[in-house]
Amino acid sequence: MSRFAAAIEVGLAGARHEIRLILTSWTGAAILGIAQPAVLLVLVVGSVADPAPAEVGRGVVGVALTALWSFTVWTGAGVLQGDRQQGTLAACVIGVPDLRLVVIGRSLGVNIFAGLVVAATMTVTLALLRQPVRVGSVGLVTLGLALVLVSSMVVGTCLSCLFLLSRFGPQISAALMYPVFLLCGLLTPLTFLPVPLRWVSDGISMRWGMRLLTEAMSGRFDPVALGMLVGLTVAYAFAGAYAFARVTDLIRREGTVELV
Amino acid sequence: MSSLGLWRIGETMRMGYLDFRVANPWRVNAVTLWPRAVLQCLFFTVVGQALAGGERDFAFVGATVLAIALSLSVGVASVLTTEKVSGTMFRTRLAGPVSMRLIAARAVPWVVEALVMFVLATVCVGLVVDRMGLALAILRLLPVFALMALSNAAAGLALATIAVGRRAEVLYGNALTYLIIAAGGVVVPTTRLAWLDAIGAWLPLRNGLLAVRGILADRPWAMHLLAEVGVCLLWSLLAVGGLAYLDAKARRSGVDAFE
Amino acid sequence: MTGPAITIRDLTRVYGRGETAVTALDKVSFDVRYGQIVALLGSNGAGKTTLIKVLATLLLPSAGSVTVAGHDVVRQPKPARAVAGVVFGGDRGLYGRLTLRDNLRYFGMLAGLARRDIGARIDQALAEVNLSDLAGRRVEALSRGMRQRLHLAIGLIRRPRVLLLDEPTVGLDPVEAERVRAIVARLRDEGVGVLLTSHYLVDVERLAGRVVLLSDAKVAADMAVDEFARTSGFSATVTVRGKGPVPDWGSDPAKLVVQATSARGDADGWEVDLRVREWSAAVFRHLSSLFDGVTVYDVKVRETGVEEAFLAISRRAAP
Repeated sequence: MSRFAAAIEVGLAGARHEIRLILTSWTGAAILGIAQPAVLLVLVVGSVADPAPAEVGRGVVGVALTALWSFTVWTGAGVLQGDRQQGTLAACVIGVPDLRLVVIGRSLGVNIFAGLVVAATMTVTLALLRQPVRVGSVGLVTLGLALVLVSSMVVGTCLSCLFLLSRFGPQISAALMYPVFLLCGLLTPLTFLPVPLRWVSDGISMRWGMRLLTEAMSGRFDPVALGMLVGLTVAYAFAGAYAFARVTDLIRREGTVELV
Repeated sequence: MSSLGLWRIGETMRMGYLDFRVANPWRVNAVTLWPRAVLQCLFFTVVGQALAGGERDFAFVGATVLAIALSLSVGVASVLTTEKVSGTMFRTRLAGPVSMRLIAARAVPWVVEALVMFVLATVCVGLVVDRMGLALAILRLLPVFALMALSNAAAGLALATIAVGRRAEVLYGNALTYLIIAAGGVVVPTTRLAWLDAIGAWLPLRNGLLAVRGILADRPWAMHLLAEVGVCLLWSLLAVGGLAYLDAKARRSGVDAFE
Repeated sequence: MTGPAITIRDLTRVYGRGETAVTALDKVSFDVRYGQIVALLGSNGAGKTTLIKVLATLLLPSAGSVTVAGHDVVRQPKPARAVAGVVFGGDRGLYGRLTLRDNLRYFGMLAGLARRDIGARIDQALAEVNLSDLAGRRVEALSRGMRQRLHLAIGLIRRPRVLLLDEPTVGLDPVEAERVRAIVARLRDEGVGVLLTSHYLVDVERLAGRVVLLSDAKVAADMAVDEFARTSGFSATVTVRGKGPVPDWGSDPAKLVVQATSARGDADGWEVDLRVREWSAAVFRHLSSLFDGVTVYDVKVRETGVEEAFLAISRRAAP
């Protein structure tokens, strides 16, 4: 089998494993995938009497990305944290496949699951609100969603290696939620951000995903947003790969992380 | 209450504080939980402002109470889950039926932290959104928010008694928080789902928030405050009943939610 | 398979730096051959688990060289991992809410198995540890002994040539412990090189051919098991229950009794343990002559095992 095929196999096995884990601890998924997007959609769309199609489109995209980011920080970044608590981290660290491949696969599983559950929840909620949604370009929206999912997966992988070093990973994860919500303009216009902070949001891939998808909902293609989303994701991937290698080496060298 | 009884309550509170401190070192909370409370308040203020076409006062007042919900809808359940994880509930039961007084005494640090985060969020966000005057007016109503914290804590504990045997504390607690956001008149006055608003009347924080808004706008508020007291008592009774039920079930049938 | 299964030369592992540095292993050297079980003994904190972790590539050595099946664990960690099975055991290290099959599937993937091979290997591994009937059950529903066997199955999933076992029988009842020992013995007979740590010295006596004793981060002994047992200085313990005056063992010109405990009881009935340098019929007759004038109710003889040797050496090594 070629190395590429072997890598795909490892990734898919990791994704399958992570989805099974999420299903056995479904309470967290229920909050992130059902409660949060449903409530936010009720607020953002359901509190306005007769919203304009563009407003609805923006709201739907914003809520979807908010839920996806929440999944990323709580579940995606927590992939190895969970293993650390259960004592299964050693097997991952001394596994034959590259640990990064395994974690990418497991993050992929998180994002696939998140995408499906959030989509289902939002469909049901919009039906309850009797709120139609106009999609300008199905192709562009599909492309945008796929790219955002990949970007979330990469971010989740990067964060998970940092959380290997800290026992307070869940607290750090939770603290990262709202800064990204605000900086990426997911549910609030970026114009609300103080000008000095706007350059920070330019460095977050989710912000460009939001712009790409909002434009796509209105049937427009934003090449700058696409380029920035792809470029930042690739940059995160390289930074994450390097950080991961350093962190695992550090763990083996210092011996201070409980692996079993 | 006798001096012995007071001493016991004091010791229980001390135990609750030690337990709380171990699980929530203040250095970690200062870097993670407190900023999260502030940012959450800011986030929902800004969301409410966006939905209200630029007017932010309504959302700001409502968003400040979410700092309370953050600690007390989910966090307070750990008073019971700690017993489960440590396997120590049987020792508490050896002293007699587990009383809500004991559990409430253990929960005091959570209530205190909730109010600290509420004050922090109000001041910080008030500064950021240029509403310091409103923030100070909110802080002058601290006793009302203390009542709201108590009713939120009671609701959190009541749900925890149901959740603890199902390993679903996080789900129930977070569901309560999100229900409060959706139906509590926190960020927006109402939504298109009338049944949701009806549910909100029975949730902690909602009636207290109406009382606060009434006081700030010089409108009638007393009935709303009474309603919040009523909600607090209702959830407290549910918590007492839930705990008694778990206790009785463990003694009679041997099925213990804490094992 | 040529060459040793495990080679350790001057292995040193230090935790921390400066004044707070702790040396867990200090120039440790020994080998493990294929088809051999070496028991690694030592008191708590002696460095046993640290050594297993270095072999498993979980920890990097501070100095020295370690090879597993000829692969250097620092320069060639991946091939070293591919040939070694690691069993840490205990209640952790398993996904409790998943089934046995799901656990093995994931760990099999981590062990480097390809998708086409994994199904068959899972079945084989479960059969090797007699857990086939429970493949679809959640791990959290298993008893401790079953979980330990599952740990073993995970360690065997890739048919390792080298097996590292860290306390494989801890917390098991005697029946389960014997089951685990039978599996390990079978692997040895199949040519697997095994390094085993255990506080249950019956594991060592029944399984190991050689003992390496760690004391204070260093190798204090490295020898065959029966030779190790003799290092205690006595080959048997004779327990005598009797009545009457207690003989004076020190007056025996043959000095057969190396050590005697104080008699427990009084002149109406006492019990004493005698450690003798060697044990034979002649020794028995000689001891009998020392009991003239004593009413002997019972005599029990226990050959010196690993535990006595371990205690004796540990006492000698203690500050």
